[in-house]
Amino acid sequence: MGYASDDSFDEEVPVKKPRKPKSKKKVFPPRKPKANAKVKESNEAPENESNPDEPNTSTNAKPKVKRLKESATESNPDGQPSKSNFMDMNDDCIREIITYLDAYDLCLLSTQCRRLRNLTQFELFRRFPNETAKIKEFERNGYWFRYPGDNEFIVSFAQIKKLSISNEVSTAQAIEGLKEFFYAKEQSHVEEIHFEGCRSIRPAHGMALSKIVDETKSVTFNRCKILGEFYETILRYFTSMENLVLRQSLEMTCGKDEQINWLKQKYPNLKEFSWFFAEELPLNYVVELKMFFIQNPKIKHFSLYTKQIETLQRLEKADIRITQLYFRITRRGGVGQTLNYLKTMCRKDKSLRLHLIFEDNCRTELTSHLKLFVELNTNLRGLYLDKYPPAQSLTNAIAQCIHLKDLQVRHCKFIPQLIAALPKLENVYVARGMVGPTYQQILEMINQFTTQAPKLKNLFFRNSYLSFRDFNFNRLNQQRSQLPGATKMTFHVRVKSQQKIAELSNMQN
Amino acid sequence: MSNMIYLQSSDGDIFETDAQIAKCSGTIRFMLEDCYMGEYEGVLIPLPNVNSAILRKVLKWADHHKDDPVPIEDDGHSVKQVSVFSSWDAEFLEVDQGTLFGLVQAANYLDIQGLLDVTCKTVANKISGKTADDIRNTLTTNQNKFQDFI
Repeated sequence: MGYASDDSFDEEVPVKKPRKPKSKKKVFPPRKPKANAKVKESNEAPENESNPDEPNTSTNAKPKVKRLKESATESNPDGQPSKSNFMDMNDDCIREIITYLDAYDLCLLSTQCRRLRNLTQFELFRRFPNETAKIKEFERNGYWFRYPGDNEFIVSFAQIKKLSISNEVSTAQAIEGLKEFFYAKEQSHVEEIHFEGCRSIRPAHGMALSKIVDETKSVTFNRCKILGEFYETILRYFTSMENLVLRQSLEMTCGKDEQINWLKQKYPNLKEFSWFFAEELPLNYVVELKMFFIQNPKIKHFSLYTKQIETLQRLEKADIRITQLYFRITRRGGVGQTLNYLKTMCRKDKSLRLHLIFEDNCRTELTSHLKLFVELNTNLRGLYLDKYPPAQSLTNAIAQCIHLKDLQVRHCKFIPQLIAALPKLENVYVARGMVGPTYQQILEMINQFTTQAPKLKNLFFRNSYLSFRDFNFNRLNQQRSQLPGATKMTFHVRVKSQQKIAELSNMQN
Repeated sequence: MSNMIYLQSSDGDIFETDAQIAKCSGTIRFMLEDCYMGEYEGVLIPLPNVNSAILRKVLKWADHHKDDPVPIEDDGHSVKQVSVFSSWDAEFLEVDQGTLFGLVQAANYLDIQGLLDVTCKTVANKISGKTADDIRNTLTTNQNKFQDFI
């Protein structure tokens, strides 16, 4: 998963079609009619039956009635009110009924009782496969989760594997709810946890989570503010953490010296560490970071996002090795100068995986440094271009970066050339702005990628829901299936409101 | 050609009906065509899960819909489309809750897709847009059913 830029795709909605469960057929062994059985004419005029409950003279033994017992004894054909109960219906029937309910009602039903919870859960999973549970707030009878784009949601997962916690869970009450919830769910072990846009992560968060995160392997903080010391507040609860990602998150309220205390700790299982640090990395941070790597020798992967050459220079001086570098190239930093520096870095470390994000205003400078750019081709894994489509000369240069896995473009006339030249491409991001006359070009590009690039796994769109009105993802995937060796592709659309989600899902039919 | 067959409800009552009408039920159709190999004139099929009152309703519905086109097989992928109710169906389903639930179960057991769709949709309509307490009051007269809260 590449990060296109610092405000990259963090709330994608994989567009998938839900599946409908097939109902089972039950067959009873047929029997021949008994000679003395009474026969009623039913299809002629059933309404005029004078005595519908005529005693049965058949010698057949009455079969046992299980589910219908209540309605069989208490309801009568004239429509008198009966005491029949919804919960007396069997699972098949309830499942059939809830397929007609929207997510909100399903959530509400899930709070009613265990049986309904299981049934609705099944339906929700069917509709939203592979979805991360997003916790929003806690209610009396249930646990509210929020799916991407949905306003209100309760899902009660028996097991939560991926969990995303947003800013709504920051009041004392919500954290208390979180705690109660997880105390009731001792068997759950979250494998992956994301803190998304939490304006305040408090010590109580860590306390609340402590029960279930002791086996969590992957921890991500995105746009978070930490109240108190980072390690004491939250990190120490993740005893099995193998992967730590910090994205625009290191705003802490503790004292200046304590800001980097978390780097002084030992994390016995940590193997991967990603740090998105846009500003210049202060010298004392570099020193602590060095100590951090010495103390935690198990860390094999260090990903860094930066836009400062100075940061790279400082890290190099401290002999800190970066395995994956996301570099945002700005005009102020000087395109030629930056590329030159990166070139020397790549020479020293052949295995460095490089991701380059070009700001728009350095496009002209880039075209005059294409030679330098091409020299990075063996290390380049990701390339992110905004707005302007690459011209022929730049396309030629990109086509030489054969190891490229992630590509972000808006549209481009030379897509077939790129597809042919870049066999390892896995993720394509469509840069923002699918409007106006370029819409057709972008559509054409998507089509070409889908139907011609066999290794492609994900296609990402952002804020472009409007353009998808006459867009059929399933048809695209069908066309794609004719491509030999093609992998199944997932389309990710970033949308914000429920209405737009509904629009998108309607489109799928 | 009249191909009358007999259906026996859970109460033991026996209903005579045209096989063509009964065949809107997947369960019965399967039995007639597979078990009796098409030679089903006058057979008796016991339906131990359907009582007389419900069976009568079901047959009434089936009689009305006997000329409906065969529904296209669901591909299992699409989201449930809400088919528009005919006014006859709407009137037909103006019944008490017990009967409605009975019809859902019968439609499920007998595998009558059309009836299952309209009845389930009707029940779903009763649920949707309600608060938790309303749902409880609407769906049940027996509060104990919902008491196994976690």
